[in-house]
Amino acid sequence: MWIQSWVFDLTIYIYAASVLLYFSDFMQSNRRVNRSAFWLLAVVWILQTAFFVTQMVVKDYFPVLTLFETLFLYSWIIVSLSLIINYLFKMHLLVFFSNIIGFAVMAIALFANPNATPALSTQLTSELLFIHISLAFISYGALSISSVLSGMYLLQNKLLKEKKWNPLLLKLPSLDILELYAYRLAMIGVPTLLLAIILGMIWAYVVVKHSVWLDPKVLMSLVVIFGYGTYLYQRITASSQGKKLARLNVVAFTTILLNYLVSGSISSFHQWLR
Amino acid sequence: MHILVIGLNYKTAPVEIRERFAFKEELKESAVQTLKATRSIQECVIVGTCNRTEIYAVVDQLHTGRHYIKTFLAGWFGIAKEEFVDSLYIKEDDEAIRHLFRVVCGLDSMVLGETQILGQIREAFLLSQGLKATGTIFNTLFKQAITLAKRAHSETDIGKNAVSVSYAAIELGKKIFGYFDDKTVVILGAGKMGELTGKHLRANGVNHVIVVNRTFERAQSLADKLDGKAYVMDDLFTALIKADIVISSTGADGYVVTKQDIQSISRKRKHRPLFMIDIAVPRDLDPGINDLDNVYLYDIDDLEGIVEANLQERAREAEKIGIMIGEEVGMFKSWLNTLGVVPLITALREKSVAIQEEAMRNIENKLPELNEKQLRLIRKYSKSIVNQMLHDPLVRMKEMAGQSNGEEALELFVKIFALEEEMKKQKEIKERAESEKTELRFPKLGVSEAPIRS
Repeated sequence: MWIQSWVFDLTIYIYAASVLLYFSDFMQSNRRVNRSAFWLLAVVWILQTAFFVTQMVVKDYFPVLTLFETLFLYSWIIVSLSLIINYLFKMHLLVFFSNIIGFAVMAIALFANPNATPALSTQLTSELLFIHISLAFISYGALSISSVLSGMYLLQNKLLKEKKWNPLLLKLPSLDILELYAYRLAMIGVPTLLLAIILGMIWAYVVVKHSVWLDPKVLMSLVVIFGYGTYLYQRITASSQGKKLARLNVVAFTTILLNYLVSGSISSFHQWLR
Repeated sequence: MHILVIGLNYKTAPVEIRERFAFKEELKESAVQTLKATRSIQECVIVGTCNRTEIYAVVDQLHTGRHYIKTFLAGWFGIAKEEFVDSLYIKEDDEAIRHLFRVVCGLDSMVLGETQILGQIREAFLLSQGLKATGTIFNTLFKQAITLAKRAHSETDIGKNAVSVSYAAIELGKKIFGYFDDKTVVILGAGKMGELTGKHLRANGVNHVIVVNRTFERAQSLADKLDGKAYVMDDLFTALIKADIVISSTGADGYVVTKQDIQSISRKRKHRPLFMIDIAVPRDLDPGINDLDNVYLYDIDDLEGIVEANLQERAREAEKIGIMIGEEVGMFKSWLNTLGVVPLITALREKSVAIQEEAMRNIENKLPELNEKQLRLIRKYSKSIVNQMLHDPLVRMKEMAGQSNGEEALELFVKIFALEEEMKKQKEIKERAESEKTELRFPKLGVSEAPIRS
């Protein structure tokens, strides 16, 4: 167990070093620093993966049932996605912004009990539940990066409108690219989230045995789906473009955060996430 | 041995003088060969661009080097020295190395950080190298300079941003659209500036151009040049609905397009981003347009502001390169100093071997009863003593040669070990070999003055 704790601590330190190097590159362009940050992030991914697999072996279940486990999974998804994006599209600034979120999540996980036992009895856990949670966090990962892209869009739009020609503006990808990838990631995240919710509902019908429709988590999840549905509808029908669309994407993401942090804690059957 | 740069550039000489000192492309080879055969010149590279003419040379003595290079310039271009000496700059040793590094990195160029000079210096060096006009020093120096310039351009953002108004407009467009392939450009007014920016946009991938003008004929004429379509002013709104980029440069007194105009077509345009460039004075486009969502309006002052910001950014990046140059000058000097150690090592070894051989001869004379085996043993151990004694001084010599006062240290070694005679002999051998090589190299030139190197 102490080895796991040691690996987790080491991952946090290396992750911090990587984010700091990305910050240094952000402040003062330096390709060597950027390359070092990328390789450190790759090491973080390897350590996270090793930690995740070890947890799976030690705990004898897919580790996504406690607060610590879900936060860890979320952080791992963000690191994975940002590495893929960096490799394919060389958007260094996106990697930096995404990993600020990833690192914050990992740091919060530090305060959660890594050895907490799932609140649900083994009779209540099923394959359906594991798939529901995994899909939900995959969608959270995709939608997080999508919202970071929209945030970058809003920042670039502001700089262009105010005619502030500075190094930050030069580092940002074009508005078209930011908008396109934000949309594509939402196109991945939203159906995945919808699928996760449907599977969760089926699980609740089978296991919880009472109506869950008035549960705050379920209601908020419907608000999230409505928010992203509006975003996708407006994008596809071109009834809105650019700044409004980016703002809508960021707002929709804040509903996800609210759903995870607030509704989850007052939900009648999501209490196992502790 | 010294490194020398003598030249003139856009800072020291107006174009009327620069054009008289331009080496013709077809005569460059001959110029390098003639210069190489000139007295005092050991290695040389001639750099000739529209903004500079420079001669880089390794010379045996500075004052003779300066004199013979000026004489060469005067002779080659047929201009009296007095006419151009005031336009010349002369840089020696460290300053010459630093100057080359600055030039090759584009820090001495008219457009700070431009990369064309890197290719020009590379070509000049390769030409001299091909003609065997470069040797150990310039082969290392120029290769180091070229590598440094590549590193400077890849590790800093010096050449990244536009430094002209037209390119600033393109750069802005790329910040909004990324690519121009499927974008439509509308040029309002068939003026020169609109045409120039339109051409730049076409070169950057724009495929659809619409020229809108009061007179159809002028619109058609410009549209033909840009492979686009011509509209008259009555069709302005139709053009604006199709537009992604608008460049306006009409001579109209009032606003040609107002905020309300753009608002009214926003729905028909499906709220697509619109980039509008107003290069007309007085302005054609209502400044209020910039308040609309997804519309980005830039006038001539805004574009000039971008150019200025980019120039400042380049100056900041140039400071970073300045630090790199300082490090590289230090590294080259260290290498240069260690170069002087080689003949010294040879001299010291030769002297010690001579002493050891002399001692062996004395032993053989005084102890004739020694057999071959015993003599071999004595020879082996006496050599070992000499080698062990020399080991530490040689290591220290190499170390000290790489330091800033390396030359003084080497002189001290020469004095301590009394190597003056050996060094002199080595120098003579080297000079003989080089002069024989040079005579073989330029048999057809008929240069009456044989290269003399002291």
